[in-house]
Amino acid sequence: MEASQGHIYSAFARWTTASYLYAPWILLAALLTVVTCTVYISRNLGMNTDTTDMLSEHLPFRVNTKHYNKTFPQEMENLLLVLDAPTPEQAYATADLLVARLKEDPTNFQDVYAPNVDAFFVRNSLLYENIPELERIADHMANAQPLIAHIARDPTLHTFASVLTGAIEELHKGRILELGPLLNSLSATLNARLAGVPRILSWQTLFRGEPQKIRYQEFVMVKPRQDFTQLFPAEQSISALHVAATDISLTNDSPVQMRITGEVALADEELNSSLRGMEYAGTITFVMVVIVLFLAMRTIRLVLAVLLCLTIGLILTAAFATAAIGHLNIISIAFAVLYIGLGADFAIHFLLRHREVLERGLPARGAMYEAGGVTGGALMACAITNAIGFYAFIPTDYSGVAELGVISGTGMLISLLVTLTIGPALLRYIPKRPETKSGTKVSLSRVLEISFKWHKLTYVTIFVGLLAAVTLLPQLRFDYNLLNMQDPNGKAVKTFRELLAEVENSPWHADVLVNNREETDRLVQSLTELSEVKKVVTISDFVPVEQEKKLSLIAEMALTTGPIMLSTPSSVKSEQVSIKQRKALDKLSITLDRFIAERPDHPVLVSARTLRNSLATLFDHLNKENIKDRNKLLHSVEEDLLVTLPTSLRRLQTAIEASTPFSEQDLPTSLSSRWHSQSGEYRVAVYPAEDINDNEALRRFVRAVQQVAPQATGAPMVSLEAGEAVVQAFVQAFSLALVGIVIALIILLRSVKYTLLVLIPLLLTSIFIGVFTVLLNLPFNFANIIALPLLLGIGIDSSLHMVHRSRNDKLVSETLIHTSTVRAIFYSALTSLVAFASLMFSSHQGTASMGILLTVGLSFTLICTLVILPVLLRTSTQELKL
Amino acid sequence: MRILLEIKLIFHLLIMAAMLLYLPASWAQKPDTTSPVQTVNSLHATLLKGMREGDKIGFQGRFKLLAPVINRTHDLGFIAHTILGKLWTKLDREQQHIFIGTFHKLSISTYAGWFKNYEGERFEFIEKKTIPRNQILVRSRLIKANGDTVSLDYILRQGKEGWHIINILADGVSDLALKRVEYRSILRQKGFPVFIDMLKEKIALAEKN
Repeated sequence: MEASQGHIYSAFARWTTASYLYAPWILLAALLTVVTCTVYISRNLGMNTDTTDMLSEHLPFRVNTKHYNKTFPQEMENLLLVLDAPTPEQAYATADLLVARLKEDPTNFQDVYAPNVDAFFVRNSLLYENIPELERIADHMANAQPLIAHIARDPTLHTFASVLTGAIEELHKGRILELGPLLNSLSATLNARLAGVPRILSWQTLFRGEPQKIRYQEFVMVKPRQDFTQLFPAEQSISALHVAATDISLTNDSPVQMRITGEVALADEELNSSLRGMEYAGTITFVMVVIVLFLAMRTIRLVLAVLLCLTIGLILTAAFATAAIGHLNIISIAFAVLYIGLGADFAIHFLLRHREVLERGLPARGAMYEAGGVTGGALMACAITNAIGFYAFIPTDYSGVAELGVISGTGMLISLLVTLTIGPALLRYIPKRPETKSGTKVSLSRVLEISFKWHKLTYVTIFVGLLAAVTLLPQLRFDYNLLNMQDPNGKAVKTFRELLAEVENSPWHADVLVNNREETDRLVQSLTELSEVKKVVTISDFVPVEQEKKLSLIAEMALTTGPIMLSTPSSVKSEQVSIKQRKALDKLSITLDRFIAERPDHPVLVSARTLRNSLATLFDHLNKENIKDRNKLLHSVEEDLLVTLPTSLRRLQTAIEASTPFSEQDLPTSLSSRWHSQSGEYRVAVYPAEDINDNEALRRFVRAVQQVAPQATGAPMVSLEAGEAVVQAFVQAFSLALVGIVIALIILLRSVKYTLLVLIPLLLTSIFIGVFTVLLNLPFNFANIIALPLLLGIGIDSSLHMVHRSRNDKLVSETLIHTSTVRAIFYSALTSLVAFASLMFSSHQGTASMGILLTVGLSFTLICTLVILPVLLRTSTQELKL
Repeated sequence: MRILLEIKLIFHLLIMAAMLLYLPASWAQKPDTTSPVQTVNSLHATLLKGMREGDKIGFQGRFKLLAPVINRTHDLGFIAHTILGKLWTKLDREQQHIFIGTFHKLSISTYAGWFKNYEGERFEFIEKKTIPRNQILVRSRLIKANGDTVSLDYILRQGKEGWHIINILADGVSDLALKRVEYRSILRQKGFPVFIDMLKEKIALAEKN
């Protein structure tokens, strides 16, 4: 043991001394290497932001997804445009315009799909209604036909008013007319205009005899072109989409609003929110790190030395990443984070130890020899154990993290080399004046001394902590809902959640691919029986049932309605027109008054009274205005009331022209290709009964569907299975790392006892972190789980340094806490803490949770290594003495 | 010269071929007594005749004059059926029979009541249009002596004995729509006997006018 210790000691001592002596050459060589590497990186390092390849493609769910995406390529990587409009006509017209405009740009939009706008579905829309509903619409149309016919012949405000006057008179005489809805809609439109929040009248809802809802939606599915060599792959397509929207006057203040969501928009928003403000956070973090380093080093030059070591190491590691992998992914880009955390740790340990040796009054060369020797051994042990921790990810299914493992593991070895080569070389240029003991040194040691006085309390605390862990750890969970990682205020996320909550057409649903018809029918039946399933959709659901019966009802409706001719009103807006309008409105008001007075028990009375009041308010406004504004107001009212009439009539005429039944073969390809692939496979879409934004609901839904259809895929399956794959990958990697580290420690330390002493603080830290994630309700997720390797690394480093120091120098714990090792552990953990604490304030929930986890984790690491470990070490050395 | 002769011969042949091709077409275009426009024209002609002789022959005379023409030009059975829609199937055979009979009478009476005397009115054909489901729309208008017009659009469908009117739109307002709302609501709310009484009342009213 002593021999190998001595061997390692002298090797590192000689290496660092040589670096110190040949400093100019070393630094020149470093400079040249850094320049070469920078050029190499900038020319060759790519970016792969495609998250689909993050998990091994051999996983069953990945195989299912891959097959599904190959079979129905239109369904993957989409943008979902949600158009919100006050009337169905506006929603439809906007969707129609938008689809036409987007189709003009096939480079940015590979596929544009809006089923409701498709001519086929407009023509056959009535066939998709059920028979009672069709009968109701037929009755309603018959009822409204006379009014519509009259207004269509002269679609002007005065005709509208006089037709209504006539209708009220008929009603008065006792004729049966369903006038209520029309009067109500008219009042609502007038009131909205007078209140300054205009809302146009929907004739389509009037035709169908439905009350006008607050909002109507149309959906457009767009498959954008994505460039995965860019950090924001869909950036160009999304901005092209905004341009297209502006082109068709779909802006922030238009009555129709467009919201962008869907897989691609969510990913884009996620990247945006996690990177937004990074420059500010970066600057603040940098300043904070420099302050902490200054507190540790007490001289700017040493701080600069740490930063230089970090920079050189980062560049070398990036160069390695370029050579070994060629690209960075969303996760492996975090190597920089890990490197800064652990690289700073190495440099701080070396530099502080060097200073400690200097303070003992050794000459420069001797000090370098000793510092190199003692830290070299400790740092090598750290680098090896850390590298094992990171390399443990290589065999897992989480290839995103596996790449991170390769890069960071090697980064640790690079860091060791840089610290012990560049560090000594830089020290040559730093004056070696003896330091006075700083305030923090003293106060830090004083705080730590308390733990010795209360060592029994320390044990009790550990015991209580472990008890708490036993009860709380089973509640440890992994949040696989990707939406929960995003900024909850993001537009795409909000819209997506809204759609999920509406359940009916949840954008998250399961898809099952089936080879033939019979199997499809069987599957539909067994899936429909599940209580977790709301509905099951296949291509046959787009072929309406009872078509003959419906067509005869539609024929009846068409005949009864007749060909309503719409004339274009003259666009003259003279004073005379306004007078005519006012006269007609006055007459309507008077007729309403008489009706209200003479038919007080009529069912339409309430509606009549409401309209009379609205008209009275309108007259008030008109009387107050000057001629010009009066004409303008009347013109606006006319617009509000009649602008949708032409579109609605056209759509109605088209819908009642449907006269031939159709089968699956007649469905438009844009639809059928989404349900029946060219390879002959059928898609069965399974919709959840609950809002599966909730993890438990999602799990229930996924498991239930998988019972019936193991080959099911879709976003719910992917997020649950990916979550489990990630958890499994981490469990596997950590187990492997633990075994590897134990073996490495036993080899390096040649002692089971010291190996255990290194591991105990690490295990305690892990347990306490687990407890805290339960207490803080901060489950692990795809983002914060990346923090675990860093915590593992710093945890091992810290306790290894402590054990190493205590053992090599045969120090009792009371002395140990006054050494540079303790300060190095404290400041290197503090450096990482301030470096990553700022992540807590990120609007991206995943990043923020990573910040919290790192902060909590590093604090526990400090407590476990600086408070608990010395107590354990003391107990063990006391035992030795006995 | 020979060439000229031959050209003349070919020319003749061509003319003959053209005539042969043309003939069937012209035969097809030969006025057909049951064409949609003819159906409407014969209705209009009878209405005018009834109006001219209106005062002389009285309501009953006009009824007798119009009845066969209306029966021939309208598919009253189909109209009655369409008006009631689903309610038609809820009537028993006898009720259906009673309704058809009363409806016939009412339809003729309405014409006889409306077109009772002549004050210089004339009908004018506007256009004929094919509409979906093999139906034809014949648009026309009634021009009164003072120049006022009422547009009359007829929807016709082909039956075994030619084209029959199945809906009339006066100034765009559908006769079927008006009757459907009125008849169905009374039939639904008050029952069959009251419904038939209401129809009879209307017949009496037309006669009184």
